[in-house]
Amino acid sequence: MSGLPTGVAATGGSAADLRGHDEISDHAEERLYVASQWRLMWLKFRRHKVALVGVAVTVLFYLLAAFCEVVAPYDPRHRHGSHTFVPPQAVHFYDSEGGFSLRPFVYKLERHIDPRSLRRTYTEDRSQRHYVRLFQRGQPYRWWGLFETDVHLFGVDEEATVFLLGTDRLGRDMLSRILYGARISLSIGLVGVLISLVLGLLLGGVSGYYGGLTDTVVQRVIELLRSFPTIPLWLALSAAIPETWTQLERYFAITVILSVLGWTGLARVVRGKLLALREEEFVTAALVAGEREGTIIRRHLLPSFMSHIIVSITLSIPGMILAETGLSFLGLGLRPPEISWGVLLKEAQNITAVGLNPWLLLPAVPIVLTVLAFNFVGDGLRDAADPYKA
Amino acid sequence: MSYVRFFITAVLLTAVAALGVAQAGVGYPLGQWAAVSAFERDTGATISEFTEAPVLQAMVADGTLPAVADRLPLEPAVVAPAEAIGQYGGTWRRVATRPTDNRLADRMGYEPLLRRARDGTAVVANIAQGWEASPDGTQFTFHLREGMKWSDGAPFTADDIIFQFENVYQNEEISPVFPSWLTVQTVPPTITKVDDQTVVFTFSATNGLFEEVLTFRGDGLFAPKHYLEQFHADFTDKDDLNEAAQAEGFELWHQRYGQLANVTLNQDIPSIRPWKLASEATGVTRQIAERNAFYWKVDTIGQQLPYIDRMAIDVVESGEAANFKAMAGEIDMQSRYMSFGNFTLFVENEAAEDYEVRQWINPIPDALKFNLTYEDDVLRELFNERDFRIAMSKAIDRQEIGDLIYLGVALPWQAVPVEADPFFVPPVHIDYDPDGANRLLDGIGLTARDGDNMRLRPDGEELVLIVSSYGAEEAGGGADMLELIKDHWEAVGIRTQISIEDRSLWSQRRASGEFMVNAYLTVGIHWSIDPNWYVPVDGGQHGWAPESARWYATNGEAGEEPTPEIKQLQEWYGQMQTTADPDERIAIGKNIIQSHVDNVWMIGTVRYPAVAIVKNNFRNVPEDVIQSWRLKSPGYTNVEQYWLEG
Repeated sequence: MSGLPTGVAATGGSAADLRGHDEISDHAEERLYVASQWRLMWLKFRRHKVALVGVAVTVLFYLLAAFCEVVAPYDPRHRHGSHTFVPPQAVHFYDSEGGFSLRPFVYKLERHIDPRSLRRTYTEDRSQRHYVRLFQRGQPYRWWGLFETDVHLFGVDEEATVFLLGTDRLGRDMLSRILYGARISLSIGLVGVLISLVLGLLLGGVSGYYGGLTDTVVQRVIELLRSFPTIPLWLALSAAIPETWTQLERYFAITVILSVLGWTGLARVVRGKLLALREEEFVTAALVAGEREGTIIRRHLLPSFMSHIIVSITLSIPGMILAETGLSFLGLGLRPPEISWGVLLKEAQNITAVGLNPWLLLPAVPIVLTVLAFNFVGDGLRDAADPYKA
Repeated sequence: MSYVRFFITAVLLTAVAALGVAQAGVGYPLGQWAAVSAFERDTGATISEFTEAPVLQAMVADGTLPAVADRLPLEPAVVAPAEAIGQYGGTWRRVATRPTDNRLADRMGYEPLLRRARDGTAVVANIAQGWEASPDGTQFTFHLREGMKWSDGAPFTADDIIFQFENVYQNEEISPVFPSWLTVQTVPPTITKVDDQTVVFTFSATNGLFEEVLTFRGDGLFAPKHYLEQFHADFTDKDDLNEAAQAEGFELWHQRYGQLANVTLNQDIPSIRPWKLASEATGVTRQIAERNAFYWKVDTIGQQLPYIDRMAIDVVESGEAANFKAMAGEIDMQSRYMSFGNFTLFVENEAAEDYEVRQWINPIPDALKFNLTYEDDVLRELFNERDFRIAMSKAIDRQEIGDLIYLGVALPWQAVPVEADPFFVPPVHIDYDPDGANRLLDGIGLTARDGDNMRLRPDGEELVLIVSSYGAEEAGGGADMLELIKDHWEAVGIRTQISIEDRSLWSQRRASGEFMVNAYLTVGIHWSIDPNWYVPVDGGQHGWAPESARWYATNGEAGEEPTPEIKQLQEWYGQMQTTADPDERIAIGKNIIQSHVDNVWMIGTVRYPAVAIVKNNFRNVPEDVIQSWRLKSPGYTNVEQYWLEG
């Protein structure tokens, strides 16, 4: 960050505020004075323990989403016809006689059908023990659509099953579905935020830097967009997606819908920051030095509030994830056979799921965790963004 | 020894005979005799006097109601209790999802001129005590019941039928189009009143299906003239009526008339049904229907029906909410809205809420219908290939569908009628045979494949079947079933895309014939009164040959000329209409179904039971009810003889 304008350093002034902390040695203290703003942010951020947990969870979830084909023990669309509505299956270390096994194992499931209620129930056949193996060969898949393989992170032989989070009405493995759902649910947030970011920076920047009529127009548009009640607007826009579009097209359309509404907050922040910064001396200096407007914005203004942008992005990703979930839950977003967390929750939206098969509601857990994690990260970043503040 | 044996036999016989006398007619398969005299002749039992419900006795004692013998017609119809003579009283709790959904005019008041008997098939007298058809099937004479009365005590006469025919069906403001079910080859009949109890319908040609049609539509063939006259422009000043209509928020008098003539919505209109609306219909969360004190049916010991005093209909948000209410034990008896998907949950609550979950016959196979008049020539030729349809049928694993979607209790079926239909022919090509399907597809030249090993069209283009549905379980199995079928079809190399559409968009596309494959249901019983399911005749919409139907409906002016086989179906249907002899008619109808069985014009998947919730103290509901709109189920089982024990 050597290109950081001098003006920014001037706004900070006293890194001495940090001096009181014991764990920072004199040597480190010395380095603090010359540390870049990013380094300062990191130093501050890593003291925020909850935020670190949030980062860990977020990274873990994104890794799982990226590698869902490998991690998932089954193809999420594969129907295990004789294993419908299996409750989460227990993995054992101790057998029925209390014998300990270092390698985890499952018992083979036996199905019983109640002749009256037609309910499927399952018991463990204690005589058949099947070890859960790492890198088990199972159903073939194409990893990222590139490599054909059949190695799964874990699994059991074909004789038995390992449904850690149970199965749904068609006998599909819930864990695999949640993992695959993560890919769509987590990425729709990223793509959406990216579009919002571009729109927000562009329009907010233009509005803030030029001011006057441009500013008025952009601000009125923002107010207009923000004054719409969001849910009815989503409904209307989703209804406008042609029924003939494929799932992929719908997916992008929804992303665009969400981000077209989502850029206004960011644009406001950018505008406000620019309005303040453009009066700063270093901007005048740059102008006098004959810099072009674009360069000034890009080189001098944007970096000075990058931290704010990052914070606002981290805080808007969970919003996007929730929006996708909400839309799909209402039946307006993605639909089966596409798998997203919202779709999974929608499928659990009936009395039978709640009454008899509560594990179908499990997709709510990763949604809550993701949103919390992102919020903690955002919280940590917000504190860290201003490293000179105690 | 032999003496002892003789003695025991004699005692047993006497006991059986005594039982027979006490319960003469109980469980009678047809469920209803046209009149007391017919009942007495049939069973040898006598009905010496008529009795009534305690609530009505009190009113008679007050003098607010005439005596029961004066309220009943000279010859009431006699209804056989399904299992036991009932007790009076109680409230039957049911659920509706809209104010117009109380079913008081149909399922809960199935009272046409002639009705389907409790066996689900026979046509028996109902409002008409008797009827004759001329041998050539052009003239039908109906004899009404002398002394039969509307719920307000006014006599029910031939004038009430003439009024509905002349002043409603032939009034162009109320009925812009004369009802087609009442015509033969688009020509309406003439109607003559012989005397107060006799009406004659004369058609221009043989109307072989008229009696059957009456059992379905014949509850709209009369109206209380004495009440409706005051709202009808033929009898009351039109300007006054229009003014009154505008005051009530209607535009014109006939719209107000339509509302007031509706038994479902208007609590003031006199009725001839067992229960009539006794509360506001709209703007309430619970509708009440009270017994009709002038109801014209008695049980086998002369007790005036219905047994149950009152009906309480809760208007709820959705079908799902209705299911909730049933599980909470807040419904006494209902099948409508009870979803098969909740079967297990219903049973789990059986003991706690003191009801029984029953599986009724659901004669509605799920079906996939190729558009045989599809706009694309290559695909149309393919769809019209018999082997293609047979292959697509054999490629479906109906066992898996039954196991996964219908808890293992579904029957593999074709899109043809069920056993209870008079035209039943056993379905074929329902075995799961992917190898056979592959051979058939290879045999018709679909041998070229693309990179994903999917078959190409004969012209080398990509072949994709788009199956459209609105995704409801009760209308073609829903999205889950279609996903299974997609896999089954792709396993034999036919790429399939499922398109779940908004319901209104789906029906609009279906009506205009803009669909490739249409996932819906097929009516598997008494289709002869509504032939469009099996014969393309309705120009407005058709599920598998829309252009052929349009061609037929417009006498060849629009649409496209059908293939010879489809034309043959239409000709057979024409013959059914103009054949007076029932056996001959059934033989012709079986030709139509045989053609469906052989050609698989539509592909059926499975049929599955309907669910009914019956409280354990709710009696006289027969065991194997057929759940069909054509029988206004459970109307045809005589809902008036249901009763609540204790």
